[in-house]
Amino acid sequence: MDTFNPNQMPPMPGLEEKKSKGSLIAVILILVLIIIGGLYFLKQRVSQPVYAPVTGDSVTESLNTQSSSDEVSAIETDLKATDIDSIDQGAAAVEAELQ
Amino acid sequence: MKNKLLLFFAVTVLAVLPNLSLAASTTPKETIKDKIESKKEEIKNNIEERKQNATNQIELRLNQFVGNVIERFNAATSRLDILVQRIDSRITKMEAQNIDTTKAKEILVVAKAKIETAKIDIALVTLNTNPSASSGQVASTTVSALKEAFGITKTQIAKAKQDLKDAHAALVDVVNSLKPGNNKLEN
Repeated sequence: MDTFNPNQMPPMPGLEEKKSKGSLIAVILILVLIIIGGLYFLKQRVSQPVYAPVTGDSVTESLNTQSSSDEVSAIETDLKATDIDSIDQGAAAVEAELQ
Repeated sequence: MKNKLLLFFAVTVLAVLPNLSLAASTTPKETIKDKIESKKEEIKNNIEERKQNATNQIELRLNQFVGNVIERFNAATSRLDILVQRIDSRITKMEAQNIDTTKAKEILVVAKAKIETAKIDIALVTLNTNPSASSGQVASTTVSALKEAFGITKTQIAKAKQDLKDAHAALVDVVNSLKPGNNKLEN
C-alpha cells in the first residue's frame, strides 16, 4: 500500500546542480590559494642566503673532544689526537674564489 | 574682408608650420638618443650591481671562513688549557709519590706561556676588508681589496697556528718527561 512520505519527495534538479557548482568553485578556490601560498613560500625560501653551519665543523668538534683522565698515557693519546694542521682547512678553496 | 581673413590664415599657417615640422623632426631623434643613453646607463648599472653582488658573496665566504678558523683556534686553545690542567693534576699526584717533576714543571711553564702567546695572536686574526674606512675615505670593497685583506689574514692565521704548534710541542715534551724512565725518585 502506498503511503505518503515527505522524506521521499523527488529532488529538485536546479537546487542540486547549484549546490554542486558552488562546492566545485569552493574546492577550486582553495586549491588555487594553496598553490599560490606554496609558490610564495618557495620563492621566499629560494631568496634566503644559505650559510654554512659553523656548529657542525668537524675540526672544531674533534678539538672539543678529549678524555678527562690525568693518566700519562691518556694525556699522550689526546695530545697525539690534537690536529693543529687542519685548523686552516678550507683556505685553499676560499683563495681559489678570489682568483 | 574675405581676402584679409585668407591672408591672415595663410600667414599663421606659414608661421606655425616650420615650428611644427622642426619639432616633429627633432623630438623623436632626441627621444631615441635619450632612450639609448638611459639603456646604456641601465646596462652599466646592471653590470656594476652584478659585480658588487659577486664581490659581496666572496666577502661573505671569506668572513665565514675566518669566523670558522677563529672558532677552531679557540677550541684548540681550550683543548690545550684542559691538557695543562690534566698534566698539572698528574704532576701533583707524582709529587705526592716523591717523584721528581722539576723538569716537567719547567717545560710546563714554557708551554703555558706559549699558549698565552697563541691566544694573543688569535685575537689579532681578522678580515679587514676596508682599511680606508677608518681614515674617512670613501669605502668600496673590490676583489683586489679582498685579496689584499685576505693576504694579511692568512699571515695572522699562520702566525697563530705556529704559536699553537709550539705550545703543543712543549706539552708533548712535558708528557715525555713524565714518562717512567724519564723521571726519578726525589732524594
